[in-house]
Parts: sequence; C-alpha cells; structure tokens
Amino acid sequence: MSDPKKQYTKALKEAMRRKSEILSKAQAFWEIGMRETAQPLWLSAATYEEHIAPMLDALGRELEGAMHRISAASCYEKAGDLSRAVNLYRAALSSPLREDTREEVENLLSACLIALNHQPSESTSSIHLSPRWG
Amino acid sequence: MRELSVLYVRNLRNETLSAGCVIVMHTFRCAIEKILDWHPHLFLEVHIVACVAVMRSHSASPAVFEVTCENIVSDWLGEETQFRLEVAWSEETERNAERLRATIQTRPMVEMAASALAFILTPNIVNLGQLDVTNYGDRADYRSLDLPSVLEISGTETASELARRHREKVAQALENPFGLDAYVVVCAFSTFGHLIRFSYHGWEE
Repeated sequence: MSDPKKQYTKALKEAMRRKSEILSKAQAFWEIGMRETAQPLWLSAATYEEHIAPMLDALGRELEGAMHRISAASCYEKAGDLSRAVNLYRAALSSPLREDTREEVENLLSACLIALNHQPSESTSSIHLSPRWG
Repeated sequence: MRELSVLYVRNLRNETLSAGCVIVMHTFRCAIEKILDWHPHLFLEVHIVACVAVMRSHSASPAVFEVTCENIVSDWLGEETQFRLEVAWSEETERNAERLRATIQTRPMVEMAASALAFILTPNIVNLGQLDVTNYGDRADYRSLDLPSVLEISGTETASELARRHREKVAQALENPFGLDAYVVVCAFSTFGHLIRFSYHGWEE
C-alpha cells in the first residue's frame, strides 16, 4: 500500500529550520533561568508552529500537524498566553492522536485551564482588541 | 577497523623482555565547539558551555568517552560496536563554563551536556539530517526530517545509573507520538571514565 503522505516542501523545511533555531534558543534561555529573554522567543516559535501545522495537514501528515499544534500550545503556555494555549490544545485534540498522547494532552489542557482560572485579572483586562476595520 | 598495536618491553641492551598486543579502539576526536558548524540551525551555545562545565568537573581536556553502540549502522563504525570519543574544548569555553556552573542547577546542565555530545554523534556517526525541535510540556523533542526517527537524549553523573536510564529512555522514545523509530543517546559523566550508550530501536505498533 502506498503511503499517502507527501514529501516536505522546501518552504516547509525552511520554516521548520527557522522555528527550530528560535525554539532551541527559547529552551536554552529558559533552562538557564533567563525567562524574560525567552518570553518573546516562545511567542515567535509558537507563531511558526501555528503556521507549520496546516502545511503538514495539507501534505496528509495530520498526526505531525497535531504534534506541532501541541508544540505551539506548549510555547504559548511558556510565554504566558494561556488562552491561545488552550485553543491550540483543543485544536490538537480534534486531530487524530495516539491514545496515550491524547491522555497527555488532555492533562496538559486541564492544567492550562486551571492556570488560566487563577491568572490575575489585570492580565485579561490589559487585552487590547483593535477593530479589524480600524 | 580497529588498530592493532604491538608493544615490546626491552632492556638497555635492546633485548626483548616481553611483548604484548593492545587493541586500540576506533577513535573520533573533535572540539565540542564544532557542533555549531554541524547544526547551524540549532542554538547550541549554552549546551556547549554546559557540556564543558560537566566534563571539566571530572577530567581535563580532552575528555575521553567509551561509546557502546547497539543496532547502529554506520559507515564510520563499520562492524564495530564500541569506539572512543575524545572531546576537547577551548580556554574561552572553559571560562564561560566556570560562570555557568554557578548559575544553573545540575540536572538541566547534565541534560544539556548530554545533548551537546549527541550532536557530535549525529551527523558524524549516524547522519540524521535536518533535526526539527518541538516543545512538548516541559521537554524538548528532536525528530529527523530526513529519516523516520526521533532522537532521545539523557545524561547522568552517576555511572551506575547508565543501564537503567538507558532502558527508561528507550521505552520513552518508543512511545513517541509520531510512531517513529528511535535513536537513544545516554551519557554518564564520571571521574572514573565517561560512558555513552548509543542505540537504535525500530518502532512496533
């Protein structure tokens, strides 16, 4: 039976290369306690992951797409953007996942929801919604 | 691929008193800083410094590792299952390592040190091609985009833990959510001799 998955495109591999560079930097700074330095890097890596996931879906690599949504969620969580993290964990759960991975992601989502509920109110009141037509 | 050296012990009149054979293991030598060239798309500066911080607390440069391979297919290795890895470092990296040791906890430092060594093994012993990094909870996952494999890495400063840690990491790697084969690298840093276990495991449903 032929594998329905298509090869990675050059653009996709390049996006993954750039994301890996940023993400490995975020992880390193996080590990050595430079959390403020890591914060914008987590956000940048998460944005890349969000773009990479549908590119993988389009190649018939839905499982990989789901894993990159989990990675995006995890990066947003590290950056303190828990709302986006919750949305991406939920998006990943709507994809085909192995059963043990699904359980792990459900646990990550629960922990994220608990943290979101305990987040100080000023962080949500500081959200600035600009009108799309503005 | 092993070199065979014959040693002769002679007296002052150059008469042979005894002779013996020593099998010299295949040796890979490099400076740890070279991993920046081998993996230009990964940020490994901190890993290099962490690796030196751990190595220098046990031995001088170059640190010598006895690497045991399991199911590794490698042109460089040939039929061998063991080799020596000699890892040197610069004085500048050593100065940075002194500072890092004071600011970072031991466990993440040893894990980063092990990663630095794993990034010598690929591409030099087995070339996994482009590695993609993802974040999963609190851990970093490495996946090859060119071979259907993940790379699992761990480190310890307790040599007697090596076998158990390796078993744990193999099990963990084979539970990877992609359903891919796994390469596992576990490093044990020790004053009595550094050890590395490098293995490959096929994924089974």
